[in-house]
Parts: sequence; C-alpha cells; structure tokens
Amino acid sequence: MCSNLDTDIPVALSKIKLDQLQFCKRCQGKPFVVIQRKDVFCRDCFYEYGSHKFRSTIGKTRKVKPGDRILVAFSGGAGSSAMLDMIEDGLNKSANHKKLMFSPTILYIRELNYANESDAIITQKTHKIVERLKKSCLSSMISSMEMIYQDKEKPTFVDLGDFDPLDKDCPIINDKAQSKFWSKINSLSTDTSKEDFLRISRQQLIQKVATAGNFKYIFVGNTCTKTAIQMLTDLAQGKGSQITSEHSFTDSRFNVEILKPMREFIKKEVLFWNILRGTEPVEWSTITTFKSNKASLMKLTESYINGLEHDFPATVYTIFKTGNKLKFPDPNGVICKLCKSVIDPEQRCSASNALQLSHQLSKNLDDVFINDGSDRILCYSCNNLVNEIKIDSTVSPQKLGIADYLLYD
Amino acid sequence: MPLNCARCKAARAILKRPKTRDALCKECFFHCFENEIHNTIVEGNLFKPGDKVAIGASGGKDSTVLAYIMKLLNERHNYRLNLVLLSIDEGITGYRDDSLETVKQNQKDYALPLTILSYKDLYGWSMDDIVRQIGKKNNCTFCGVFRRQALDRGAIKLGCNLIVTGHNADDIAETILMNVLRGDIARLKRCTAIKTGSGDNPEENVVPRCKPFKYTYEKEIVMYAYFKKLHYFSTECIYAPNAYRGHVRSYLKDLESIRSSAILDIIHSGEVLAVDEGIKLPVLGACERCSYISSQRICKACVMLEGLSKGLPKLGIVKSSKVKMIKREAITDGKKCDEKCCSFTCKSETDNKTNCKS
Ligand SMILES: [Zn+2]
Ligand SMILES: [Zn+2]
Ligand SMILES: [Zn+2]
Repeated sequence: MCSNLDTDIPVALSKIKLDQLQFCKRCQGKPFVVIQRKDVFCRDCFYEYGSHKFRSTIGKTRKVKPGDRILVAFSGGAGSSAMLDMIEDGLNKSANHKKLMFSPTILYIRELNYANESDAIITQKTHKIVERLKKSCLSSMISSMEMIYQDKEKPTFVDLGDFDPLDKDCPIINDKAQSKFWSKINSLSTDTSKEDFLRISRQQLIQKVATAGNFKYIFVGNTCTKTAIQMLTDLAQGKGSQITSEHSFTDSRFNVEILKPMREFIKKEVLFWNILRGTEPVEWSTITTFKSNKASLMKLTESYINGLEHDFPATVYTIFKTGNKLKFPDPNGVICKLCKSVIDPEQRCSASNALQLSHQLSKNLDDVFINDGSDRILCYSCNNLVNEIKIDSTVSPQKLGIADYLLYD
Repeated sequence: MPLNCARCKAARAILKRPKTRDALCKECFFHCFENEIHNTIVEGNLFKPGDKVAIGASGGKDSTVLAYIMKLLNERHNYRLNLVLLSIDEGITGYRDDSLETVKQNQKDYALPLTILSYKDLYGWSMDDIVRQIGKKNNCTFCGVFRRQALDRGAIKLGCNLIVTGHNADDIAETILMNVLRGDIARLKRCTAIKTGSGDNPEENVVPRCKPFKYTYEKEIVMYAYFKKLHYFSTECIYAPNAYRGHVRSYLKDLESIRSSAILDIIHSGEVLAVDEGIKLPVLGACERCSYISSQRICKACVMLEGLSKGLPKLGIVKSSKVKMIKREAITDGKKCDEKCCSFTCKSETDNKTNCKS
C-alpha cells in the first residue's frame, strides 16, 4: 500500500570529487583528501586531524587511565591496521598532552581458511601479518580461532616469538580442536548463521585471552562504516536491543570491557590514513568474500549500504548517529547463554510470539513445545541461529531439549 | 513427488508459506492465516465489543483482504463490532476510477456500508489538480499527508471510534528501516505500535488506529486473496513512488529471500529497542489552523495547502528559509483559518457537527 507519509527523505548529492580549486581547509596547502563535501585536507593537516580524533575518542569517555593494560585486537584489516599505527604513533609522541599513556599488547587471532584459498595465499597473508607484528615496538600475542575448543589444560595463546606456523607442537595449532570448530560451522545451514556464529566465537575467544592475561580493556578497530553495516544487519537479525552494547564506545556485556577507539572514523578516512602512513592492511577472506551479494544478511547489507553511500554520502553517518540515540537494555535481565546479551522481556503481542505461533500452527506442534518465556536461555536472534543447525533426521527435533542445540558445551 | 501438507499430513501441499517456508494445503493455510490474525487481535487487545470500526478501503489487496477477514472473524469469534468501509478518493484519473469500483464490489460482496470522501471535497484540491500545479515530483508526500487526515475526518463523520488499516508486516519493517536510515528517532519509536492514538499515549492520529496485519506477510495476503478468489484492484499509483523508499523495499525483499523470518526479525528489533531518555522527542500539540494533531504550530497539510495556493508547492516538503518565513507569517497574522482550512473543521466543532464541507 502507498504509505508515503514521509517528507524528510534524504536527497541525493552529486558525487563528491576532489576539486582542483580547493585547498586544505586549515592551512590552504596542497589537497590530499576530501572527507565530506567541504572537508579538504593536506597531508600534514589530515595527519593532525586523524591523530586528534583518535585521542579524543578515547579521551572523552575518561575510561582509560595512564598505565592501564589494554589488549588490542588486530586482524590485519584496514581498521585495525590504522588503529595499531595510531597507537604506536601516539606512544612515541614527544608532546606530553598528545602522548598516549596506556600500556597496549597486540592480540592477533589466526582465522581459518574460510574461502578455500590456496596454501600459497594463506601462507603469504600470514607471513605479512607476522612481519607487521615483528616490526612493532609493542609486545604481541597470537591465538587461533580453534582455541575456542582448546583442551582445558593447554594455553590459548602464545607470544609472537614462540609462534611458528609450521611447528606442529605449537600449542595454538590444534588439529582436533580445529576439526571440531569446522564441524560446528558446517552444521549451520546458512552463511548468515555461520557468520553470526564466527562473530560470537571470536568475541568469546578474545574475552578468554583478555581474562587470562588480566587486561583492563580490549580495543577493537571497528570503524563508523563497519558499525553502520553491522548495525543494520543486527536489526535484520532481531538484535534491536543489543545494538547499544554492540556498537557504542563501551561494551560491558562481558568480563573485560570492549572499547572502540576507531568508531568515529569512516572507511575512507581509514583508507587514506593507511595510504598516508604507508601501512599495508591484509584482508582475510570471509565465508562470503567470493560469493554473491545475497550470500548472507551481512554481505547484502554491506553492498546495500555501499550503494546508498554512493548517492547519499550521509547514509553511514546517519545510521551511526541513530544508533547513538538508543538505550542500553535493563542489565538485570536474563543473559543469553550464547551471545551474553540480555534476553528481551516477553510481551504478549509481539513479533516473537507471532513467529512462534506461525511455526506452531503450520507444523501442528503441541503447545508444550512453545516457550512460555520463563525457561528461555537464548535471546531472540540466537534462537534463530540454533534453528539453522542441521539436525540428524533420525532424531525428532520436538523431542530434544533446547540445550542439545547449543553450540558450546 | 507430491509433498504432503506439514500440518494435516494428509492433503497434498499446494503452497510454501513465505513466513515459515512450510508446505501447506489450501485449507491448512487458511486456518493458519486466519487464526494468526485472530490471535493478534486478541493478544493486542485491538477491539472491545460495541466498537464502531472504519475499515480504510482502497480496493487494493491489503484492504480488500482486511475487509474480508474482519467480517469473517467478527462473525466467527463474535467480536460484536460494527464494521463500515471508508474510502478516500484522491482524484487521480484512471487510478481510483477503477479501484473505487472494486470497493463498491466489496461493499456488495461483504454487505458492509461504504462511504467515499474525496480530496476535492476535503481540501479543495484533487491529486490531479495538485500534479497540474507542482508536476510529478513530491506528489506522494501530498497524497500521504492528505490521506492521513482524510481517514480521520471520514471516521469522525461516520461516528467511528476506531480505524483499522491494512498495513502489513512488510510495510512496518520497511518503515523501521526507513527511520533508521534517515535517523528519525521519534518515528522509529512510534512506528512499531500496533495501536496508536488511544489511552494516555496520544499519537499523531485523532481517531485511534490499529493494524491487525502487523505480523502478516504481504506475500501471504496475496496468496490468501488468490486462493479465496477475492476481487481486488492491483495497480501501483500512477504517480511515481519515491525512489528512496523503493531502494528500502527492494533491500527488504532481498533480506526476506535470504532469511524468511527477516521481516518479523526487524519488527522484533523495532519493538525491543529503546530510545535514550535524554533524546528530545517532539511534543505533539494541535495545529493552530485546523486543530489537527501536529508537532508543529501549523500542521503539514495546512503548510502544503498554503504552498499550493501561493504557488510555492515545495512548502512542507523541503525545509527552507522560505517555509519558516511563511510559518512565522501565518502565526503572526492571527487569522486562525483561511477558507481552505475551514474545509477540515476544528475538532471541537466536529463533535456535534458532521458536515465538514465549507
Ligand atoms: Zn592543511
Ligand atoms: Zn544471544
Ligand atoms: Zn493440510
């Protein structure tokens, strides 16, 4: 039905180009990058702009105190490469008020070969990342995704110096744990749930390491652009009440708080920072990297937002700001066993009940199988996730308790 | 190999439910479809016995199925509602001419009384007049703003205390996405409400409204109409729809194709997200000219009407200094109503007077 009741719809702006006639807005110097329509910067002023923004994002919340031990999650990608560079740069500054005072340690988590790339490519990417870490003045640690299933008595991370990708005795290379991890991934029937599962697993592993290493905070390199894409994807997965925790500067759902010092940088700024500073990011391929735009909710949303951003350059920033205006859910609620978010309180007339009723009616299930809300252990979206676990057809799903659907023991 | 129905396990399945992707026979699909809407009505407390309910009828699929299902459930479950059809004629040649025929057919088929009100009667301008004045851009905005008030005006005229509209789950999910994309936090908070304008929560509407199809998928409404052989008029409005909304709609369709529950998942997100109390939301008052509920001193329809008569059709659509200027002028010149505005009379008047034409 026609429901065009809205008037303040974004207006397409013509594509922003670097105009030869424009000069740096601060010093009138030679232009290097245009951020928004009028924000032209020369190299020096862009450097000042970037490092100031990084410092002030951390500074304005007054969370991080001098000497705090911080675990910096580094994936090799554009966002975390820029973050690592800004930290190293900030620690070496001579001017006292510009110097970063906390004490960082880098954590690199080796991902699996999700896109089935050749050994040569994987080896080359790993080598590049390891070399980057060796170049750093900071101490570094390495873990791997399968450590989520590491044997109880073994370590889940090693120091950079103790890591050798070819050494079978290296504790973070565990074939048994890796095949268990693969079988969990493959038990999920869609790429959307696989990506969701990987994200939750990664989050839990970082927590594990941060807790073991007794860190005060975790830094992740999520940019404004990534935040906007992830936020819209979360919305489409029923994670409305988790948006605030997931995407604001501070995420305190876990044992160690996660901070996002890169969240005010758009992708373009990060890319130009990396060009300016000569840092070379390594993008690890995901499950959907070489698949179509409709492979997963995340991939679709990414291409959708990138397309919109082309005609409506304020898209990312508007979504980002919308997210900032939302509220944290009641922290006293029941916590989801899987993702550790607060489970949404039950409402009689709700999408959640409507969806359950639809399944109940069209599959002719007993009322008993339908949750009454009191015994829920999973949040709405994790419930969707476990519903996409392929079930052995000899076992009737109705006969199983929900615990049997859980991905972690 | 023919597939058996997932529900009765006996009959042959003839469709795959878009919402759950279960294969169902025709009878089981009807059963699910009707019971889910009944459940929404009961759980959402949408009606009380004795309500006089105006069904916004456009002749399109949503409102045709809505009229059919309201009549059916009202009789089956004894809601004891007094149902009437209310149509708005925007005055678009070749669009309403045919769809109004459909509404008249609905009136006969379902034995429900029908009232048709035109924009020309209410505002002095038909949509064709407006398009002649402003061209084909932005006219959906006029249409939407005018229709919103027109339904209220009509419902008051008919003595109805409630309006039901055919907004389905797709429409609501789309509106949620739309409000996130343009950062409209006030609407984001309101747009998931199944019922508006009632109790201590005064909303934009004068007459309370509800949406029995809030959790019903658009594709299932089309399927239901198809298998029930319901007669509806299917055409898009001939005036180009907004391109931005079109983007959002196709994104939503793609989300649904990836995960069938995505539409309900978005509505769930909308229902549970909470707006920070520190964020200021616009306070709703009454328009100084027509008394329609508005967050501005002059409501959108009045600003638009003024723009039309002064040859400044962008008024109310684009926020410009010119708009502010005229708004200020309108406030200071003290004239509460000009001729056209009186065509939608003040609220106090309408309580005892039903004639709204000037
Ligand atoms: Zn400069
Ligand atoms: Zn969860
Ligand atoms: Zn059946």
